[in-house]
Amino acid sequence: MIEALGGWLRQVVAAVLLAALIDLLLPNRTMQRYVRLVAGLFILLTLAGPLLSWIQGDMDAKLAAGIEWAEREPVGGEDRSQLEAIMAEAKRIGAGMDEQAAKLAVAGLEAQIKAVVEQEEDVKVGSVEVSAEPAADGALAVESVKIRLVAPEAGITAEGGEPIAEVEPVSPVVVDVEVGTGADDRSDEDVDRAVPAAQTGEATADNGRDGRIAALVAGRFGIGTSKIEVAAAGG
Amino acid sequence: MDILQIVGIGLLTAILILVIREQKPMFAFLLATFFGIAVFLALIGKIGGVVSMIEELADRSGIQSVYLKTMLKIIGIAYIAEFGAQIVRDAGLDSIASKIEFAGKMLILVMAVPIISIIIETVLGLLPAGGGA
Repeated sequence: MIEALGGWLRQVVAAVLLAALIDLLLPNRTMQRYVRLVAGLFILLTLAGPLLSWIQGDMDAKLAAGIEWAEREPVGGEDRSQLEAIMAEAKRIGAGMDEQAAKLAVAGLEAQIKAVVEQEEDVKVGSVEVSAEPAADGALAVESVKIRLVAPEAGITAEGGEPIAEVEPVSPVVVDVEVGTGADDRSDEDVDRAVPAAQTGEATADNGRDGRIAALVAGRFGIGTSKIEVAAAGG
Repeated sequence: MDILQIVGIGLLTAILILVIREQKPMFAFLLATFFGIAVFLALIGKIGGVVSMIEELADRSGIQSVYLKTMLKIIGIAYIAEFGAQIVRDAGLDSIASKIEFAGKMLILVMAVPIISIIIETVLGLLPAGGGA
């Protein structure tokens, strides 16, 4: 009790000394009345400090917040411009982060496409280039995918740009040797079916692989086949 | 020694201003401004010493730092407003000088707003609710 009373008395003496010092330091009499008012209020506050703390709880925090407010209040316009500056800064940082996220997403997609194609088709993929643009709703939309294969054998030319449907495996040629009525007709039919397959088989080997890759990527990643371009290296 | 230097420079500046004022009042005004700023800059170190002494006093007596900060701000506002008002008054524009002083007074009073509000809140809290009886 005596301790608290001593502390309070010390505070009062210090506040009065401070007020006297400030009164002494003032440049002229113009401001004297106003400064005396504030200093007197401070002394009053110090005197009534224990009472105020008892009634209001955290008086110190309230006072500090009030003084903070008082310092900011006369420059409200500046506050608004500061807010605008902060908003602009936030927008700039947000745009930077969006760009970074887009880069990361594109890099991840490229790596995934490369891994999937190499795993499924057993070909060596040289590079995958994905170009993506932000759509109207802000989401990224894949514009094109360029898959460049490393040629395992010479003579592979690029077949770029055109969507190629997956080629069905060549159906086995059934030669019916059973002698019966209409055997000639049937063998003719089989030959007719077999010949185009044989002719196009080698020519479409590369096309088929490219088409399979395009279809694979399209199926796995939900990208339209028209946006996927598969090319062999050097093509 | 410092005071001798400052008084010497002040006298020199005064003589220069008196000489120049007839021909170029603008330069006389600038000279007075520069002298004021130079004196202020020369004394910043001493002001820092005084402020640190007051801070130590406040620290030892357990007074809240908010009080001290506010008091120092009040002194700063008073001095800056006075400095600006005197320069403008030297240039012969009393009306502008009085506006600067007015701004200083208002800013000092704004410092008192939180204290007044806390005291009023406390007094109102002490009164019984309704107050009719």
